[in-house]
Amino acid sequence: MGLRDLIRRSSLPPPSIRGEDDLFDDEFQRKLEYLALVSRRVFGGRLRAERRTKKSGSGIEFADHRDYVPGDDFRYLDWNIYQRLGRLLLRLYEEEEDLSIYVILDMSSSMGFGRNKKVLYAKRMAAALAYIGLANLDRVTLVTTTDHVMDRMPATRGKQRIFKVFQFLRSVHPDGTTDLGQALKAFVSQHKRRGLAILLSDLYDPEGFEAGINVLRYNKFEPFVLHLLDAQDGKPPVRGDVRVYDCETGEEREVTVTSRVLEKYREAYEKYVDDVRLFCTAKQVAYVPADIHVPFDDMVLRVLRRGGMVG
Amino acid sequence: MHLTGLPLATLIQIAAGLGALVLVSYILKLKRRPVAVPFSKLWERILRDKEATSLFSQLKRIFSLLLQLALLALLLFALGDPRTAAAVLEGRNLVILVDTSASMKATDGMPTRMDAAREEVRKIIRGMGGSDRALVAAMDATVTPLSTMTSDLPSLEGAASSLQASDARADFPRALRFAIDSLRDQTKPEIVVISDGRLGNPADAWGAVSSRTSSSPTSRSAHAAATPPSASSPCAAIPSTSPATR
Repeated sequence: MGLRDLIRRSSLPPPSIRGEDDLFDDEFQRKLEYLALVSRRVFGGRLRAERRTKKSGSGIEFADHRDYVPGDDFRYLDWNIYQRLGRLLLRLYEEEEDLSIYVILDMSSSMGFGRNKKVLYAKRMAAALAYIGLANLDRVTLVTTTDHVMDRMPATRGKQRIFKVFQFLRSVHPDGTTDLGQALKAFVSQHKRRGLAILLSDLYDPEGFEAGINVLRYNKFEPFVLHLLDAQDGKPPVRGDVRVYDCETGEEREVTVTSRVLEKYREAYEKYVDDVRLFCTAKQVAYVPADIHVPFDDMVLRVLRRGGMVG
Repeated sequence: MHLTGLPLATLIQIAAGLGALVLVSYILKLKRRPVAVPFSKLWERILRDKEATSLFSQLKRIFSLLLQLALLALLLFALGDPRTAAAVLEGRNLVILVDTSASMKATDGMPTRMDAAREEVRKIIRGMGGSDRALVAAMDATVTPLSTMTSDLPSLEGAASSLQASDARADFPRALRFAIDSLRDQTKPEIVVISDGRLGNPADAWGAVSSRTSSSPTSRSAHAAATPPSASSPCAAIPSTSPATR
């Protein structure tokens, strides 16, 4: 651990200064209730026990036929087909199950950059989405990551558990480097039950943002990327001869910042955001750019409309 | 080439101090201000394009240092006030001996001879060049220097104002000896005697007073009376042509 890390850790302000005292105040909780109601109205009829999965099993909704192979349950044989066609076919039904929602919160140092604005916003978003999930009786799990899985709140259900979520979110603080690829590999190995994986991150991953999203895709999770964007990141208030250092890795670069350089930086930043969006679109991954200056409840509604999160 | 401003030793000291200051500020400037960024990879992309211009930016820094040092050198050059040998005019060194004997209390002047003498002294002081220096001394039974050998006009004017006639007779030979001693080894020495003319010969028990140095002071006298010296006094202005004291 370098001296800079040590100073950063020791200079971490107390919760009152970090703005976390009133992170989940009464006003916030009222908004959550409203959001849960809205989500129910918007996605009415697609609630618990009606969510169909690709998995066929023991539901009541007929899905398909397949050939009988020795060992199959006789009870699912379609005797009518056998009578008409003389073939042994098995009836397949859609498995109905409650959805597992994984809220994956990036807790690397870059999320705390700029007076913790991104991380506070992300925590509120995570709490809101978790509440909507809990209210819909989905199984909600919260996970925080850096270059590994940091903390985990085990799967829980029912909206009365929201205070546990608040408690969990209050206890985590941004610290560490980002490696979504490694962290999410660990995550998928720990969570065998597939489901919706909502990734809240600024995606400042030196190894490339694609790795983490791909891990979720390849392991049959349904990734949902909430890309936290702070406009300030694209317009750093820097001028003159400076030595820029990465707040996570401490990597240093000497640069003379002129208005031309700032313009180039802005272009590079916009291109980076664009690359993320294009990648998600190409891979059919639900993607919502979350500007932290948009009120979080508006953003939650946007997310619900965009992704059919609870549907 | 001569330095008529600050002497070379002083200039070298100032140059060393300021030069060190410029170099230290240059080195401190080289030590760039650290700025935290959320994602340095974005800067890396820009810097890749900027590599080509980094040589220019380094040259720019060196040029800026050289320019600062050049400006410093010019400033010091100006402080040195260099002049060509021909352009340098050496200043005179004057000893103004003012007779403050009892006869100077006579009221045939404006209103006294002493007042006339003070006015003469002031005229001489005002007529001094930039590099001239003078010393005002009161001459009665003793010789009392009222200022140092200086080019500072206010202090010389103050010395002129403080001249007071006494009740003693003037000891001219002693005053001359004092003046000659004061001007020993000085460039362009000059003795000005301001008196009502009742001084007698510049000789005493030790003999006639004369300069024994190579750069003998020239002397002239001014008459302190209100009326023209030829009319009122046998001691008129003495022409200052001879190297010896007259």
